[in-house]
Amino acid sequence: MAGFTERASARIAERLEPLMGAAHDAASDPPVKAARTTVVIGRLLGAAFLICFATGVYSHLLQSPLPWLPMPTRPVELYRVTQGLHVITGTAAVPLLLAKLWTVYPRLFAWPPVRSVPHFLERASIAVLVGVSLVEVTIGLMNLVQWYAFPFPFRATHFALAWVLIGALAIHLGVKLPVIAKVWRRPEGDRADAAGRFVSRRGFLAAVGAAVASAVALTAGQTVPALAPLNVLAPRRMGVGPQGLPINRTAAQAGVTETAVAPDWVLTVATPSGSRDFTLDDLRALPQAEEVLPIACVEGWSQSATWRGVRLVDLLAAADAAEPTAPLRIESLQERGAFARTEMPPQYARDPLTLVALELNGGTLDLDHGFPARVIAPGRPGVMQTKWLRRIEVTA
Amino acid sequence: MRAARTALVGVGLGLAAFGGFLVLTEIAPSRWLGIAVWVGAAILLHDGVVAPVVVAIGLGAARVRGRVGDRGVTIAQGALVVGAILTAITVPALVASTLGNPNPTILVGSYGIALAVIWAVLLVVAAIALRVSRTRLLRAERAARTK
Repeated sequence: MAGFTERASARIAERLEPLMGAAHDAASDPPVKAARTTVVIGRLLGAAFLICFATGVYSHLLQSPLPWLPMPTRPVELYRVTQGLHVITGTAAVPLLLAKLWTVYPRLFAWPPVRSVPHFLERASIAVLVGVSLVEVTIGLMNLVQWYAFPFPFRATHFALAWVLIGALAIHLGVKLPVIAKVWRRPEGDRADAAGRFVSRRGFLAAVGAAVASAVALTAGQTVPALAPLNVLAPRRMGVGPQGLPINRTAAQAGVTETAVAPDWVLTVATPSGSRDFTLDDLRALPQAEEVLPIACVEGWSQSATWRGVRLVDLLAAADAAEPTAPLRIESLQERGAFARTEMPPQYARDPLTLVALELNGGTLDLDHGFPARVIAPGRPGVMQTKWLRRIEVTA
Repeated sequence: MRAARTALVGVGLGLAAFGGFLVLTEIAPSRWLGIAVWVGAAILLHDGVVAPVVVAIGLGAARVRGRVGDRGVTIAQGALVVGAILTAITVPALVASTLGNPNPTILVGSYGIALAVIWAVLLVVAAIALRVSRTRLLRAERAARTK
């Protein structure tokens, strides 16, 4: 039996080796797919992944705050910038990732496939890095268009795999550090404009650069006003939506088309000592304030808007609530969904810019924008800017 | 070098382990297989389909390079790369547009038309580059022959 398996595996190896060799030769282009090209692209891809990771963790912490880590409320556009950058950089990572893989693809056919235990671990870590990177950018792009065709929850998976990706990246850098350092020393005979079989090195880098630039230019306009005229490929357009502002979830999707316009609607403000109901007229009778604040969605689109309503601090004072020191509990008329009930950390509740908005861009809040009343606070993700308010609870 | 490598691998193992811990604690066990399948399928799809197609295109470019001229082929390759990347990042919008979304403020572009225009422009650029490149090459060859 031992003899049989030995002979069989020898036969398989005999057949496989020339195939792998042929595949390696077909895919290889040593002057262009040199370590230097891989390092040049890898550096950009690594930077892109680090930006995505940092901005992604920031977004996660805003949505699931840690009690001991207060998040900043200024500048008011901070989340707009970080999340816009997250999606723009993630989009730019698509050509960079494919370019990086292009330069190392011949290594897939290395023979023997595994030389030693460390070599096996290295290849396994690369498989994880490649697979997870591809999945992260793919599900990220799918989430932008709300196409949930994957058999797992988006946010938890995107977040967990991001840690796996960054870990695998650090391991990869540790393993490849000697190769990287060698490139830094600019070895003799390694020319920047090396001519390859498929393409010259400069031609390759120019193509990747053009792909990155065009991908960014044609999509970033959903969050960068200067690029808005070029925005033909992004899911959102600035200015397109009720009252000139996009929305993430309509009143119909949230199932509030009747409850939000009910004549007996009231906003309940509950405090440890009691509670008070405010009708829409009550809210309109309170001092009104106007602020320019952005709506910045986790999906990477954002737009500034003019909001008018009652400052949350004034509303809480009108309900005889003490200045909040613990998160507020905020409830929407929306029955289901992860953000039907949210918590607002005290620094946002105390912020004078935070409004219970009744008007948007000079008109009564559209039903899809959260009529009769919604929260708008500086520096928070759109999903936390609760629409169709029902109840605000001060816990301490 | 040795210390830096050890530190990077150590930190990497820690970060990846935390990611694994998040998968195990924050995601229902019924979803784990789906994640593993997607990661595995992504590798197979890239290594088995996307990369071989790109290699084949490269081999084709290598064959015509001598007949058409370097510059024209390089520009045509660049146009192809740009078109392929723009198409890849727009596939979700194309598919999601056909599925429909009750929210009228998402997927507001005409993605098919936009891509058609982009490809048309890129094809024109590539065609001009190839034409100019080949004309120059032929002229240079003729000049070399008459010398």
